[in-house]
Amino acid sequence: MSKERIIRTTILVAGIYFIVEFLIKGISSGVDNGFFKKVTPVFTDVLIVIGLFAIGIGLVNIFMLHSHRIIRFRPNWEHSIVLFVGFFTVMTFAVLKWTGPQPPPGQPHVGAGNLFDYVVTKILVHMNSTIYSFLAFFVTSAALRAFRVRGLESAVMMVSAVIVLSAMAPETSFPFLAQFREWMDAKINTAVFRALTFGMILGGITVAMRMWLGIERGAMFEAT
Amino acid sequence: MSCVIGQVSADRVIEWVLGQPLWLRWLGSAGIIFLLSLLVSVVIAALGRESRKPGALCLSVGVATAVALVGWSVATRSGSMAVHQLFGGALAVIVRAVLVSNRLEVLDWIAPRVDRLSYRIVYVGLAMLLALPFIVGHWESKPRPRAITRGLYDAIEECGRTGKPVFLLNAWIMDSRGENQPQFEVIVDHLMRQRVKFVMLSFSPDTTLVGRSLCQKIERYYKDRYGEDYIQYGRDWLEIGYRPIYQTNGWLAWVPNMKTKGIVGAFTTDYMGVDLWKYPIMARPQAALEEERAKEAAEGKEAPKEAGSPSGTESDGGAGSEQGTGASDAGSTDGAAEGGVSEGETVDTSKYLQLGDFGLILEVHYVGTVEQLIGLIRLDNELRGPDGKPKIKVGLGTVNMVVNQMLPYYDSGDLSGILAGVQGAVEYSELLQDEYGEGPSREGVRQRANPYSMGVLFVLSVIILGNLSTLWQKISERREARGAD
Repeated sequence: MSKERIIRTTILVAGIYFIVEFLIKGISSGVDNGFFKKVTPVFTDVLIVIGLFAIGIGLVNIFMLHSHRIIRFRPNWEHSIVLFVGFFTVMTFAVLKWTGPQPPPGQPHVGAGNLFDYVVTKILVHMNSTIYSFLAFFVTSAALRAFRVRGLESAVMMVSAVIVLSAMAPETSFPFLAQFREWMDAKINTAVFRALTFGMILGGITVAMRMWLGIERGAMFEAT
Repeated sequence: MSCVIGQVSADRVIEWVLGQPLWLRWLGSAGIIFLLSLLVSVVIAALGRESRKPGALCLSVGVATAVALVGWSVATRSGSMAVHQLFGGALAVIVRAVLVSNRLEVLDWIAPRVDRLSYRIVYVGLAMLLALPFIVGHWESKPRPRAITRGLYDAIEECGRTGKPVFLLNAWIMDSRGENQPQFEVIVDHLMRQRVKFVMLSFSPDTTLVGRSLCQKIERYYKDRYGEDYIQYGRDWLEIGYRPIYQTNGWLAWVPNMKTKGIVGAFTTDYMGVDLWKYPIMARPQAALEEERAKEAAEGKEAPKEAGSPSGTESDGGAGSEQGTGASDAGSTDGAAEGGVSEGETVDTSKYLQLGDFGLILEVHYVGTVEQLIGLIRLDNELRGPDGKPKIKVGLGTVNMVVNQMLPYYDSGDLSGILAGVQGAVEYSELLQDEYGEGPSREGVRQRANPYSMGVLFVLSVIILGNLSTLWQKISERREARGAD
């Protein structure tokens, strides 16, 4: 039996199991005599283990990629060194925290054990926030250059954007604007997104069915 | 004496101004800036320059706006008035541009310059506006709470009344900190203020520590205010900690795990490595036990036992000693053991909190996995009440971008409430303030709300300005084409 066939069969069997479990639960929880209640935790544990493998694979991949870059002096090899330095530094701090003397419950670590918390709360947290906050500048420059009325549809979109933006800031949130915005959210927005969600879910079910039955082209083994 | 009278009069004037409706403050600001700009124009004319030239006009309005902005901000110590001056300045430019005899020349001068505005000026302007609240001081924003915010507030209040705990999913990341952190703060503030029991599970490594420190900070605030016994870790709240495995498996592997093994079997220890079953909060609520007894009696089965107290004393609702912090003594190993929870100890996990015992699952997330969560809850017989409706409510705190796609779930009743970005946090904070007064989360929310609204207003302004300049240029082109004909 080829590897491809084994994988397809496993997917098919797993899909059948979960569909039957779902249907049985929907009919009555007692019909199966507790069979699914005993077996499902095993599957979820398997899922958890597979997830752990994914973390490991990701790490190995990153190491391979960046070490090749350093060894062969590819462009930006200096950044790869920074990556490794940062990675092993934080790992060292984490190990120091785990293996060092543990403080009483609820008390912070002291000395070397506190380095990990320091790096996370004082450096990483703020670096992440800073990177994400650049979006504000991108959105603003896009708003100045690109958000122009070019026709009827864009005019409708622009008017509703102005109303919603005005209602979002308390300094410009007149009562009638806020009420109109709530009405737009509750009636128009909800209806549109409900329709979109239906479409997306139906499409998702179709693709999932095809992948389950192994008939989706390019899903696993074939080139698209 | 005259200084004191002057100060008192000035305070009264400022109080009167701040109490006026929004539209009146805008108009008033525009009027004052208009008059000031006329004064500046007179000065420019007195210096021998042409005051009606477009550049001089804009300069006069700009100087007047700056003076008004600084003056009002210093006088009122309120950034809110600073915002009104900016809008007043914009109105004043328009009014002066319309009133001057060479208005077409003025508008022809302004429009292409707005279109060609350098990105650097835009970025500097945005940075200054975002920094404004930190310079002039933060001010109170009083938005009207929306129905989606109130729905979540009422759901937590109901958990407080029924005694059912809340399962708080701390799934946000540092990238969404600006919007999710104030939401997290106001939710935890409400839970601790009302002493609604909650169990927190974290999905993100960086926000695990931040979330924990926020909870501990709020806990300390209420302990200092109401006494050490007011709220205690292990009795009133608990943190399971960071579980990366769930993050890599579509976020929801914890649901079937908790359903089959209960919280004690699924997670086994808290973030400090202490067995979960040792904490009093793990005891099943009285309402859940009575509900199960009624159900078992209706089916003719034996009533479920309460979880034994590890120290031998029975407390209301089941397991746990009277000690609130940390673990109680090791004990109870009776009954059929399911799910080994720690080496050498087996505990009947069915005696401790189950998924169905929670009154609300509340997720603070940058995206939101509530769609799958709602599906799992809705379609599970054991998680539905006798009326067919789900026993557990679901709430969500998420970023503004995602709120729209969650609204259908709120509309259908699957979601009890949604906190929409920073604005949702501010609205929630208003509800808390109106009901219970000032709290520890208020300051953090205010610090984020003001720059947020400044950013929103700046984006709104550039959208309007950009479109007005495009419109005016089109009008000018048509005018020139007609003139050429």
